[in-house]
Amino acid sequence: MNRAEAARRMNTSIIGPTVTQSEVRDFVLRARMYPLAGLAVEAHWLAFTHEMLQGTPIHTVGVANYPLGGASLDFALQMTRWCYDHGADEMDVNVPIGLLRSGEVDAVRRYLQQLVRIAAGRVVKGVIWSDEMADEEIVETCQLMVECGVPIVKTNPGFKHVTSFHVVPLIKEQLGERLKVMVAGGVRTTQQMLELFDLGADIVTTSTLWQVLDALPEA
Amino acid sequence: MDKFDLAQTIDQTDLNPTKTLGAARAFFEQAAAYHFASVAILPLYVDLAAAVLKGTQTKVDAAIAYPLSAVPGSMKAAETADAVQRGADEIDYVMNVGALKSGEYGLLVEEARQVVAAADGRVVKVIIELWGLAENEARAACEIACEAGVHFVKSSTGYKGHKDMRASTVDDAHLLLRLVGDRARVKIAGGITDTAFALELLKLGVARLGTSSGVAIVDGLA
Repeated sequence: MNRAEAARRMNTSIIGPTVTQSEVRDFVLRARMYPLAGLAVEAHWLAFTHEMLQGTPIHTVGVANYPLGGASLDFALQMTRWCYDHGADEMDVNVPIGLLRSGEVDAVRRYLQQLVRIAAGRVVKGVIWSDEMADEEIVETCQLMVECGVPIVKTNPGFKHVTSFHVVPLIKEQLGERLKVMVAGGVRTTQQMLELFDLGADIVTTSTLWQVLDALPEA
Repeated sequence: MDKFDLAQTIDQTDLNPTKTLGAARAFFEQAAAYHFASVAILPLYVDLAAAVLKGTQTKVDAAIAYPLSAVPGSMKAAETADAVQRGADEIDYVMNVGALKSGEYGLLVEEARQVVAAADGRVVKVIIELWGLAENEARAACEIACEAGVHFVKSSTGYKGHKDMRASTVDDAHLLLRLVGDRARVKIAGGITDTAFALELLKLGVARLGTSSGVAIVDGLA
């Protein structure tokens, strides 16, 4: 796999509590040298980033109810809508695991259906905390996503959550091509990225983008 | 200081989004039994907290734009209004620290004013992530908060997912108390796990403590 082939299946992000405008600008300037699938920023930087990515194939990715999934469902939907209206081509939105564990499946179903409706054909990824969920729980949550039309599961939000590689075949064996799998959390090396693609991951995200991609041959 | 007085300085905190509603109910009932000042929780749990804590001396404190703060002020206000409508008595919101470091002070005053307005008279605390700020940035954050009429300046989200985050210290308390003077109160959060540290901070003049160890802290009072 060469650098461009890998980049087309990768996301990256610049999200953090102290990120400044110049840091976002410098990061985007560097990232747009690669044909990435997506670059995630917080809501405040969406329009700025979207403008910088004009003319590239890179989608601007927004986040809502992230990384915790503890927002009120109404507000999470409102925030998602705002982000799509203000520069997001795609959205990463957390699934409320606490509600699922409380048996509030109908509420979560309605929430996921609403997310897909708000996305209106654009990509929306359901974000879970796979490192804190049992395998059965991961599969059930992914099945619910498929039922609701969510096209991609993101296995963790980052922020020290690390995805176990076994999660990829776990989901793929149960759901096949009905749900794309994006692996996030703990991917630091080129070898890890390649192994995840071999296991069936559709997209991989890492905050150490340059290290992971630059080790690959250019073409 | 007796146990009740100590408890009334504590925002007993649980920001775990995987908590079931049943476990959350038990947490709120315990908080009421201990007479904590508030439960500091994610907005998803506010409705339940308001129902369980009605008529008690423990308020509902909602964490807004938590923990990622680079969200427009209008949306922080919307989230605040949503939490208030669901029963929140107090609001802890995170200042857009990236904008602070980028010198966008006017934006941040406006953000603070929007949140205060949406809180409709309820107590508002602004979290400034002091661990990530230089002293001049901390001064700017405090000036912004006081200009906008925010009631408390709070040291930290305490969110362990931030790789550079550290526990709050006595020096943090000294600094914030000096910077706000009598214009606002100070809440310290992050790393308060024992009675001795809690009492030390309160003795300095800190008005509120954010901790998940409230039970141990109160139980540890002689």
